[in-house]
Amino acid sequence: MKTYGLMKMLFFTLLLVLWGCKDDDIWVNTDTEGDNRQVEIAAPAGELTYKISDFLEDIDNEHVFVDEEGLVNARYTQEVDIEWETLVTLNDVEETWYFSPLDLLLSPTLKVAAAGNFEEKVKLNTRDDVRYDTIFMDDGIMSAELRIPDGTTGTVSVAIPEVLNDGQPLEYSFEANGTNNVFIIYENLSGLKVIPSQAQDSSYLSVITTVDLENAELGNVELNFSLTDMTPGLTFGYFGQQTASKPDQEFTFDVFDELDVIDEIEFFDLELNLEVTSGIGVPFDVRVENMEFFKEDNQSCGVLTVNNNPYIDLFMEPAIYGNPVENSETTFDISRENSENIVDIVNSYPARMIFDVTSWSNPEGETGVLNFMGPDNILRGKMNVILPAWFKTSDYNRKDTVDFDIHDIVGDDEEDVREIEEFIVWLDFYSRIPVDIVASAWVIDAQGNKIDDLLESDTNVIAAGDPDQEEPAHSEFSVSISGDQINEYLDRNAMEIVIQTGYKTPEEQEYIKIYDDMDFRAVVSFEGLGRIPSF
Amino acid sequence: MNIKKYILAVSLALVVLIPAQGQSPMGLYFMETIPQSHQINPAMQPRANAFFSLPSVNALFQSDMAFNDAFQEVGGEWITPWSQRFDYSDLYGAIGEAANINQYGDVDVLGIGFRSGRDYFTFSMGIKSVMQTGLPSDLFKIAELGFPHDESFDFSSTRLKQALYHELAFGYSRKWNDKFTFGLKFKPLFGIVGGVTDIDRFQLNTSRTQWDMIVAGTVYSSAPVDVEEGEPGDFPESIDERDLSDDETTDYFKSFSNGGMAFDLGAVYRHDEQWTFSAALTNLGYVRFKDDLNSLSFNGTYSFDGINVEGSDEDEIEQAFEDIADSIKTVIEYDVKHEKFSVPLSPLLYLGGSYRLTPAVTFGLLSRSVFQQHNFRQDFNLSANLQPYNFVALNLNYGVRLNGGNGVGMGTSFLLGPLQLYFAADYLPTRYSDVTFDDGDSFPMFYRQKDLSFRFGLNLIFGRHGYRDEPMLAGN
Repeated sequence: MKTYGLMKMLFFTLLLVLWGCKDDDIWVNTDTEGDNRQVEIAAPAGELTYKISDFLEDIDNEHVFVDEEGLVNARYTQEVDIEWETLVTLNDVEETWYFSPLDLLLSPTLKVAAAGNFEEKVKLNTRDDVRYDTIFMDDGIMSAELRIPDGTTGTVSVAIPEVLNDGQPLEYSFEANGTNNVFIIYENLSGLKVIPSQAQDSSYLSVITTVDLENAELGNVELNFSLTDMTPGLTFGYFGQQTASKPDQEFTFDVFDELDVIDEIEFFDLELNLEVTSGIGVPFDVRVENMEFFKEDNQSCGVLTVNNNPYIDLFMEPAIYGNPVENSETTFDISRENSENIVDIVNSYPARMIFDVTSWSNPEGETGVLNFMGPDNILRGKMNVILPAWFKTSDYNRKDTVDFDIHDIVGDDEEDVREIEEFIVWLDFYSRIPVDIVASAWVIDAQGNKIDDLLESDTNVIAAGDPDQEEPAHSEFSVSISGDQINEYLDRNAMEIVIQTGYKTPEEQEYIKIYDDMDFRAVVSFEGLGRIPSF
Repeated sequence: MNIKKYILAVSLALVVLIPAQGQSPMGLYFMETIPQSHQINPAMQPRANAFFSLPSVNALFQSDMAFNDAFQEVGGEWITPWSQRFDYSDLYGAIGEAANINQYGDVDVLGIGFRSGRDYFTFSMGIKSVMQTGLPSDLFKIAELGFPHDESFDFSSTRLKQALYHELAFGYSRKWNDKFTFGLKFKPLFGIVGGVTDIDRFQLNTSRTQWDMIVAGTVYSSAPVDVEEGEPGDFPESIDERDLSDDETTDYFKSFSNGGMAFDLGAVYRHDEQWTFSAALTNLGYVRFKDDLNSLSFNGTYSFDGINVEGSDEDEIEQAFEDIADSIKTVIEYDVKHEKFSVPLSPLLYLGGSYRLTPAVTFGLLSRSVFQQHNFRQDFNLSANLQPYNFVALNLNYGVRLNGGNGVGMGTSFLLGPLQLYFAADYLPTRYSDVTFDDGDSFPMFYRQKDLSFRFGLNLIFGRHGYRDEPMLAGN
């Protein structure tokens, strides 16, 4: 009985315990939008050091360069080639000569025998004040057709002693046997050397026809002689006083268009550098004139004057013959030092320039001077317009836009982004660049409508650094975006950020120079306050 | 099943399922009819002239956090830690400096004990495991606050201690006089695998301009792990688990190297026929690991002030991000060594008192203190012991752990001839709910449960009718 009672008690106790074990069901809702905890994250984002040299690398502009001093410059170059192939010009020749062998009869009684020479001159120079001493032919064809009377027998030859092939004068000899009476000469003159004979106003070739006939018949010897495609190579002599011009050379530069300046930046200087190089063994006078600058709208900025003249003259020494030929070179620099109006012109922000170039050979006219030309027959001119980053400004403003397609940026995380209640970006700038920068920024939609400010107007972003001081100038500011702003950006489909910046050089510095080793350092950190996203 | 799989299965059971240390259920303390009570207090002399214990399993799971600490009920609604209504002070009150999760387990393979006059000798052999994990409370501060400006997070209480070892226990108890009984247990220990962290400092300071992480500490391991050292001061090139053959695995688990020792001390004072007081200080010892050693020390401060970028080139920015990881490795000094190390056991102090109402009914009050770094635990247990017949003993108790769980426990033993079956448990789960997350499937959860301890096994009892002057109750 005792055991039974114990078992009964245990049973009811167990039943009671198990009945009381089960509590209410627990339902945990993890999707608690609006109830999520507010947390904060404050963290450093990073430090960006940005040098002017980095900027130059980024813009990758072919016109920008850094000089030996480290100063940043913009350089535009226009090349002007004056081709002086006319200095040495050889005449093409087409002549027909007739000779009578009977004039050369050895004996009036011996009617069948005749021997002797006929000589003709072929003038090579096209101008009388030109003398060719030696010509190495690049190209040229000499052709001749020698026709003798039918039935004539004997030897006939043609020689041009001024034309040398491997040092030997050209000579062509033919045997006539009574049945052949036409002989052809065809010679490619390329690579042959010509040493013309000289006479007054003439450098010429001699064409000597020699006959030694045994049976001279009645009739003339006919010689058709031609020189075509005469292209001289290296030529020595005196090439006379000749003129070559290149008018209306145009030179465009977009530096001011790129800067988008409208009377806000005052440049200290503009340098024009002229370089002329010659591989021709002839002295030249070169004149560059009428250097007129024009704005984008073709309004004239004025004609550049140098030492009160609207032109500049350069004298080119002749190149020195050798292997290789030693080119001659001359340069001329124009700057505010020698130009009265170059500063005014640069500060009117020209977009192009037009100028004329003329050159004269042997300006002194000394015929005893030995000229040469070839293989280079071009007078190479180069004009560099160099704009140093040396300026001052008190009110240079520009407006840029940055893509800010917020829906594209946040993607599928829009709901999470809406949980952000405040996001502050802190920026500390340490600058060695001597330019004060103020900025304002706002967000716009696809239609350009302003949604909200991002950075209040004229926020001092970067303080001008002093290049003479070791410590950079420090400035700091923060950009705060509230949750309401973020929601508005999302609701109104923000697409771009407009950044308006204003640049000012320190008043105590008249003009400032921008060097490639100048830099600024931006230390960026942030604080975000928001609710934990729902999982 | 080959020996390797058998060993792995036993190890898995010990380490993961029923991890242990020697904290038997408190209800067992006053159950003198179960010989295993001497494992709690070595002065306890089982009420049998001799016993032979067959395999038994002991397991304990402790956590500072229950389900209802991690998820709170506010206004009839259960909320997550991400809710703004979640009260973190309650959570911090529950976990203290660190949220500790302790798992202990042991398997006694065999044991014997016998009386000789006033003396009682015992011997047991088993495999034990301990795994203690501590998650710093400041880890939860991240979910509470985020990483605010000018905040400091102290993770120095992060810790992990794990050991799997063989234990031999030689016990001796002597009834000094009618009042006092003293006991001593000497336990040679032999580690199999072990690992322990020794974190001196692990701190994260956050601010808008700089984050500082200060670390100093060492991680020790004795395990089949291969570490390929890098340059001096650098993080190791690789840390890989070593593939062991069946024979190597068997040798590994049969090894009796990595020696250590521990002592248990106990005393029982019988004030009079009704009142008995007892005390025990156990687990005073350590396991010393000497084989397959690797230690990784780290000491340094890493200051993160953002990525450093020069210029605006994308490659530069990518390189800057890659340099973050490089900086961590180079700024923090690492040192790989192969030093011997010890895994200390967690000492336990038991203080108990019992009142005998009748020879069949006894009431007991027990205090159990567990001493471990960042993880001190204090339990109190009130129990009633009933031995209505000579073949059955019952225990019903109620335990309370400070800043922890509370609940009923029980113990029972049955004698079937010389064969004794016993089972004891603390903090039995008594309340549960069906839990559902969002629209998921529901599952039962003991949502208040922080502790669970149980033990069961078999003994062969000889001289079970008691000893001369204190016979067991005769059956009706």
